[in-house]
Amino acid sequence: MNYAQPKELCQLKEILATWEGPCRFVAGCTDFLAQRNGKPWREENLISLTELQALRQLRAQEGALYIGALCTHGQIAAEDLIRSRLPALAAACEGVGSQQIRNRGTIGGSVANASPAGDMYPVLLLLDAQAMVLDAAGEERFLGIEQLILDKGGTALQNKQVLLGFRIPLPGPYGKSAFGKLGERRVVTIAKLSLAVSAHVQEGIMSGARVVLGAAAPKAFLVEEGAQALNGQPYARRFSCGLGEILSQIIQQRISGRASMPYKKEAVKGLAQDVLEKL
Amino acid sequence: MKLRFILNGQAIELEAPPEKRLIDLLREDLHLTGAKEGCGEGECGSCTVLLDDAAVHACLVLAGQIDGHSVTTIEGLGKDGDLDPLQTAFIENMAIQCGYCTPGMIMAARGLLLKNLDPSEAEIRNAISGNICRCAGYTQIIQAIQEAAKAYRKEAQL
Ligand SMILES: Cc1cc2nc3c(=O)[nH]c(=O)nc-3n(C[C@H](O)[C@H](O)[C@H](O)COP(=O)(O)OP(=O)(O)OC[C@H]3O[C@@H](n4cnc5c(N)ncnc54)[C@H](O)[C@@H]3O)c2cc1C
Ligand code: FES
Ligand code: FES
Repeated sequence: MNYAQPKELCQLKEILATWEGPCRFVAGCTDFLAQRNGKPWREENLISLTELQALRQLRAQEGALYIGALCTHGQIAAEDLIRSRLPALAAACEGVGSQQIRNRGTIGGSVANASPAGDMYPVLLLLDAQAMVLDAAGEERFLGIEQLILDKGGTALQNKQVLLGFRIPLPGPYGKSAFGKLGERRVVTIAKLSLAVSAHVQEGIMSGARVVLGAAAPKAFLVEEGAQALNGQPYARRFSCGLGEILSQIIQQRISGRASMPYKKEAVKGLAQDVLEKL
Repeated sequence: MKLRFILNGQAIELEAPPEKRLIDLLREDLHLTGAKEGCGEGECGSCTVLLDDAAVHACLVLAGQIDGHSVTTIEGLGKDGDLDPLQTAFIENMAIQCGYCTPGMIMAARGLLLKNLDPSEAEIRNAISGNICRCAGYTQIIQAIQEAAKAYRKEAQL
């Protein structure tokens, strides 16, 4: 097995250009090793990204926030700018696993793992993020987060394509966002259902709302009907916009055959209340 | 792969396959059997050690990834043969029964106290929420961590 842990992006690019065969990237290994627990495993080429300091950076520039793929959930949740301007992202990171997982698990690993129950993709979709992708030829490009995750699950990343990070447009001073999830336990829990909501609130009226349902289908999705219900309504009356009912109907349509549907269609109403409370 | 890292305050060098898990490196190669393997998948916390002073699961770290970093295990706590305040507080508060979870629990608490010497009960609960104890009881564990925090604060003032 070939193993490398490049410190600089140029070293990573050299590896991508010269190594033959499939390359497996790892970051915090909280998914990678957990999935291989007790099973023999082998990779032809294993590349740990953990030493790439450039991918641990978090910076605001020209109205956008750049989050390196190697930023851990703990690092993101503690960042003042994120807590104040992107509270949905801070809340989602704060709610990931346990302290040990948040110290080690990365936002890039979470998105690349593409679990339908993951908490990062729904929030990145809510915030209209773009992913920065490096390919085998050393080219860097931006890809809308929705194109990165495939409808049937999994990612559109090809062999030797690495996630470098995410670009998130920073909402203006009137932007609000919130995230909540339901799982089997109150803490250290994997989402059975998650909800993220954002809106601009100016002079007490909501506009530009976005609503994302996660862990309901193989891929989290935007709920246009939910956004429409909030737009134009007074923020003070957000609980009476019928969001919970709308989401309940969407769940009934989208996952009608699933055993979890009867639970989720009811649970989403309470979740909508909680998330609107935090908005 | 040649690994160079700080283990419990001492610089060491050792040859190991990079894909080996840190828990196996510690227990099999370095004979440090304090960190325990419970689940092997990040659920129980019994393998918790500090990596660069942050609590992590030794079952979810590759040996290669510790090259150039510092690892602290339960064996690295305490000075000059004396127990660490956390160890003393766990004993005095009977926060241990079978002891299987204890090294991981103490290292998770140590990770918290390194950042925050005066944690609230909620902060303590949050820091150990990934550490499962099946026999001693969390009330005593939380008390022990609060007492240890007090002892650390006293030490810091001296
Ligand atoms: C006990 C436990 C609790 C958890 N709780 C939650 C939770 O509450 N919410 C949640 O969302 N997740 C949770 N997770 C899942 C996991 O922690 C996250 O998905 C995590 O962020 C993965 O990041 P990582 O750096 O550890 O990824 P790794 O395990 O290193 O990698 C995961 C996958 O992504 C690929 N990869 C990693 N980085 C990149 C990159 N930069 N470019 C391309 N591919 C890459 C790897 O090849 C691998 O396939 C939990 C996991 C455990 C074990
Ligand atoms: S053995 Fe590592 S968390 Fe259980
Ligand atoms: S003391 Fe037995 S599991 Fe905690």
